[in-house]
Amino acid sequence: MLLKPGLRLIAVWLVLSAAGTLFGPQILRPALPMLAWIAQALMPGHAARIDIQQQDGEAMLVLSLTTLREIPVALGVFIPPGKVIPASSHVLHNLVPAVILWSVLIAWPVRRLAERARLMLLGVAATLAILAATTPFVLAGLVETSFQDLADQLGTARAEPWFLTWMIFLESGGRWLLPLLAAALCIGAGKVARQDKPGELTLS
Amino acid sequence: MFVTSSKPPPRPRLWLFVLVFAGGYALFHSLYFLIPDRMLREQIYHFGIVASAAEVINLVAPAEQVTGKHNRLSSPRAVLEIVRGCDGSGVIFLLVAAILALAAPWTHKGAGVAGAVALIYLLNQLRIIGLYFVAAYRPAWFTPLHTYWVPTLFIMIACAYFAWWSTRATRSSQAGALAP
Repeated sequence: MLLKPGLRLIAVWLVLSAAGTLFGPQILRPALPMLAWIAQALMPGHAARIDIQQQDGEAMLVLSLTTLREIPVALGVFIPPGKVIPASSHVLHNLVPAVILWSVLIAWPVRRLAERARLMLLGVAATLAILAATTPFVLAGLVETSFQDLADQLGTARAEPWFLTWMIFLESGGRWLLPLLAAALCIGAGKVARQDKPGELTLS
Repeated sequence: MFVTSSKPPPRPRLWLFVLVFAGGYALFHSLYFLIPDRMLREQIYHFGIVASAAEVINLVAPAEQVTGKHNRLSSPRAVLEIVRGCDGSGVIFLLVAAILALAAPWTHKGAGVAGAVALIYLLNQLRIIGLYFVAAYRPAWFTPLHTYWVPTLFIMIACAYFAWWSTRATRSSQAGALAP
């Protein structure tokens, strides 16, 4: 009985994954200003810019952080102002949560077109929220990791900021948890869960 | 055969499920990171993943001459290192947290958890063996497969398993509730 929904889920996943492979940069490009703003907020004292570049034939999200003032890395060690610190992450990697979210939302059974439309609208909002909660943290986390490595090499300790802890959580599976939670919340908020009404005939 | 329902069946407590699901995952994640890196690398990954993967690869393709040491699969063609996140733990934590969060008899939960762990472990072994051959013969495919196609497929399989298990578990629960 679950074969049809299962095949539907796999079919939707296949189509969305192919779309992400072919059109990933185009899908992410409109969100770049928002993502750069968040990355900048995570790393005070820097100006952030995010672009999509081809590196070795692969589409990459590239964060360029420009230091606006002296940035302390470790005891007595500073990065001077005007220095550009890069960090990059694969476009496809950053589309994983969206593919998971939309696969579940599109494959979820509904009774009426209005329910589907509601689910889609909520899905758009959820996609933006998930992107905001993942991509800037991955990129800023990569920069912070380089600071941590530098401090290690110098034999000094550098406190782990909260966004690096979040990034590690995301890279260990959190980026799968978030879209599944978001899908459940969209489905609940859209009130598309099936319910039988009292007195209704049901097949046994 | 038709049956009239005089009152609606129990409405899924979605919000409670979401909270317990997220909390359960966070707990498993925290416990996982208490495991020392060295123990993971030299014992758990070696005996649990690398050794058997090397045996299988050498069985199906003896010319590969793959050796497994600690968390590393090595051959003249490719080197694959198993690190945190490559062990299937994330998907296992998701499935187990979801199973435990759903209101169902504990016997069904136990069976569901055992099935989930076995399924994801086997799939992850297949993934690692497959990625070895990709790294050795089609390196250009490695990144899209490793970072995108395979992880999302795993999640879809996990969702399908959870849907199948939860349907059986809730049916059994309702049948038990209706039994005289």
